[in-house]
Parts: sequence; structure tokens; C-alpha cells
Amino acid sequence: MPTTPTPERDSDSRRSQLIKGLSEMALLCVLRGGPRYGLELLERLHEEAGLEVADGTIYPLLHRLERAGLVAADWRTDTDNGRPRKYYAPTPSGEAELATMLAEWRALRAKLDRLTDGDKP
Amino acid sequence: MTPETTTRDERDPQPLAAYLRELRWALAALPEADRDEIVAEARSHLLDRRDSGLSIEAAIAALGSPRDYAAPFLEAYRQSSALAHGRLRELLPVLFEKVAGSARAAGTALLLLLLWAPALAIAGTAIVKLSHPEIAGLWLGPHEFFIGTVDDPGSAHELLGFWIFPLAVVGLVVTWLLTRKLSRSAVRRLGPSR
Repeated sequence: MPTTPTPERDSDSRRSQLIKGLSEMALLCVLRGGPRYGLELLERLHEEAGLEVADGTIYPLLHRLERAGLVAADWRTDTDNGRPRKYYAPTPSGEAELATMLAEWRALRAKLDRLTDGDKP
Repeated sequence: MTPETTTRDERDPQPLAAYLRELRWALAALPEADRDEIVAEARSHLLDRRDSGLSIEAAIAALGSPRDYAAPFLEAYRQSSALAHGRLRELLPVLFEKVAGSARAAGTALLLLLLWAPALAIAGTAIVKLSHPEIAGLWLGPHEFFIGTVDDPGSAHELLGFWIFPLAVVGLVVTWLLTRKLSRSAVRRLGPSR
């Protein structure tokens, strides 16, 4: 039976779509700070950007960025638990891509700011 | 360090071992090195989640079922493999899978249909012309201009004659080349599903 969309569900859906588009840029931003592994990236995206990226989404995204040559990865054994973790860092191509994304994002944000400010009484 | 040394451990709790085993099966289409990497990373993530206080069952639930978790990896592999080989039998399934969710894929699929329709019409007419040369061809009549067959050859003038055969071959080759080029271009620009 079809369900009637509630305002909360609409809002969640819009937010989810927006986050999906921004997560690649946010991920590369976090990686600028140094090599990070998946769970660490999830926590930083949550703490620093308020992005709730699902556990099952981050690794396919990292995998795709790695295949595209935007990040490089290597396995390291951490001293805290002796287990190997896969660490990611941006490549020069990834840094260039991030610069392009940020420029586009800032231009879009400036336009949206002008548009939304124009609605103010 | 090679990831295959990190994909399994006899001390892994049973739910984790079962999950990783099913994930490996779900990723069977991938090259072994990629599969090892993905399984090893999932194991590392789930053990990290457990160490941070989450139950292994809750950590597995957050990652998703093995099939769901494997799906975007498989999709990315199919996409990159299709682009690397440039074969239509790999490119077209990737393209048509995305038609429902991508305007670019839908537009390209529509364009391909528009390209193939006349190419197949010419080729089909050429095949009919092999056995019934008098009724098949490119016809010009008082109120019509079309490629195909007519019931009464006296009602219209046939323009191509046996030139329809090379035209059919050229049409199919050009359409095939355009299909390959357009499919590659569209698949290259397709984003992930999740």
C-alpha cells in the first residue's frame, strides 16, 4: 500500500540526497588533514561536518575514489590493537579535484545565499 | 602487507566469520585481489566497531547485508571493466541498468533506439530484397517516401536498387560505432547508485 510522505520523511530524503552529493567533497576535505582509515573518516565527517554517512556507504565511495586515482591507499598495522587498517590519502589528482569542487561549491553557495537572502522581508 | 593475510582469522567471532564468508561469495565476480581488499577492510571496520563498544551483530547490521554491501563494488567493477574493454556487451547492460535513475542514461538509450531503428529497417529491407527484389527498397510515390516493402511495385518508384546492400552494411557499421562511442561516453559519466 502506498504511504503518504510526511514532512519529516521528505526532509530526511532531501537531506539524504544532498549529503550523497556532498560526501565526496567532504571526504577529500577530511583527507587533506593526513591519511585516515574508514571508521576514522566516518567519525570525523560526523563530528566536523555533521554528515551521517552510513557505514556501508563510505567504503564503496573510498573504493571508487581510489579507482579514479583521487586517493591512494596503503595497509598499516596500528600499534593500538595490532590489526591492519587501510589508510587513505589524497593524490595530487585528488587535491586538484577537491580544489575544483570547492570552487564550484563556493560559487553555488554564493548564488544560493543571494537567492535566499532576497526572500527576506 | 597483503590484504589476504587480514581477511580471516580463526579467532573471529562466528557472526563475523559468517558475514565475511558471505561477503566473499557476493563479491565472486571481482578479481581475487580486489575481493581480498574489500573483505579485509570490512573485517577491520567491524572489529574496530566492536572495540568501540558496539556488538558485532549491530556493527554487521550497520554495514548492511553482504549482498547489499557488495552491490556498489560490483557496479563500479562492471562500469570500469566495461570502459576498459569498450565492448558493447558490457557497456550496454551498465547503461540500461541506469536508465530508470539517470537522465543521461535514459537520453543515451533513447538516442541509440533512434539510431538503430533506421539502420535495422534498411538491413531488414535488404534481407527481404535478397528473396523478393521487386517489392523491397526505398520507395518514392505520389504521397509517400519510405524504406520497406510494397504490395504493388507499380504504385511507387524504387530509388536504391541493389545499392541497398552496401547502404545496409555501412548503416550497421556506422550505427555500431556510434553506439560504442555514445555508450562509452555515457557510462564514463554515470555516477554511483549509492
